[in-house]
Amino acid sequence: MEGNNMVLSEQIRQIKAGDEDAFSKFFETNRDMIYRYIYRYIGNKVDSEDIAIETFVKFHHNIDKVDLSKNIRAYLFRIAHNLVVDFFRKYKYTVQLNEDIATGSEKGRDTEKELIHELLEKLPDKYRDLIILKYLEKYSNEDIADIKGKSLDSIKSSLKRARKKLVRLFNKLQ
Amino acid sequence: MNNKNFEEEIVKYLEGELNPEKSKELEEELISQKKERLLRVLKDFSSPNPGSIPEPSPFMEARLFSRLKRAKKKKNVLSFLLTPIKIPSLVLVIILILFLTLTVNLFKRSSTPAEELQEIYQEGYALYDNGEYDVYSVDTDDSFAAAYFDTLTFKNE
Repeated sequence: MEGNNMVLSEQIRQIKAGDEDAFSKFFETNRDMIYRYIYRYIGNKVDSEDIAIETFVKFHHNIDKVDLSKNIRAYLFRIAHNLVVDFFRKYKYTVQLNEDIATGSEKGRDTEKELIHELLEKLPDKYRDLIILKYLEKYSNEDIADIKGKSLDSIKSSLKRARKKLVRLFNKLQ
Repeated sequence: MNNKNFEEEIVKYLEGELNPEKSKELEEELISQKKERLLRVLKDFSSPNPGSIPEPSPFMEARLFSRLKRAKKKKNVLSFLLTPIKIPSLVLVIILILFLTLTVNLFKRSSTPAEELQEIYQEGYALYDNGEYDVYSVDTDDSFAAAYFDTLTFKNE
């Protein structure tokens, strides 16, 4: 991800200089990652897209404040995460179930997704984030440390606690 | 399997640390406990590939740039209004407009009764040489019209 950050830094320099194509490229590079992350929380396509767009709008508005020496992706994820938190606050934590769950045909897959949402909902925010990145989005511990802007050791120990909490929830499931 | 063991096994399963036989054993245990849903979730969590989610709309980029364009326009208007030189200028223009409106109103009111009379005469009164008059149509209210009757008579006398 270090190399990625260098590429991103270069893109940010160009965006700061007013290059719209650079922002378009930046969006293309990071769109899926941000959208997927948000989707894992929200569980519905329309709201996830809206929040992903809002994330990039906010990023663009604050482009002059972006510190190129720091992790750009971590900054982008932080914006997305804050917007997700705002979304839940706004809708009083009524997690909307995936559109596919509501209308889907594969009953087995649907109930599984429901269960994942149920589990994630019960996890504290700090752990939920890690579980999503690690077990749903399959990021390595190094990548998660990079995304969260924390040390690898700190992420490892947080993940250990998150996993413990998750497994306890598994155990309670009937 | 007790709770503690179960939790330990699940952690190992999640991390891919269980050998194939142990993994199968755990899976069978979950099936026997009618926890198939949990087993599917565990398989999802421990799979090396992220699960599929609906693809984002291809119009996301267009929507993003349209949002940015709108925000830029708004920002331009705001920055125009909030430029330090613009504020006193705007205040000055508003004062000037208010002053002009007041002046025009005062000028209108200061028109002579004769001029106003003429308007009324043309609109609704017939004058005769002997100083009498007939009202044939009155658009204004009576009190307003009456206020000018005397003046009218006086002038013709």
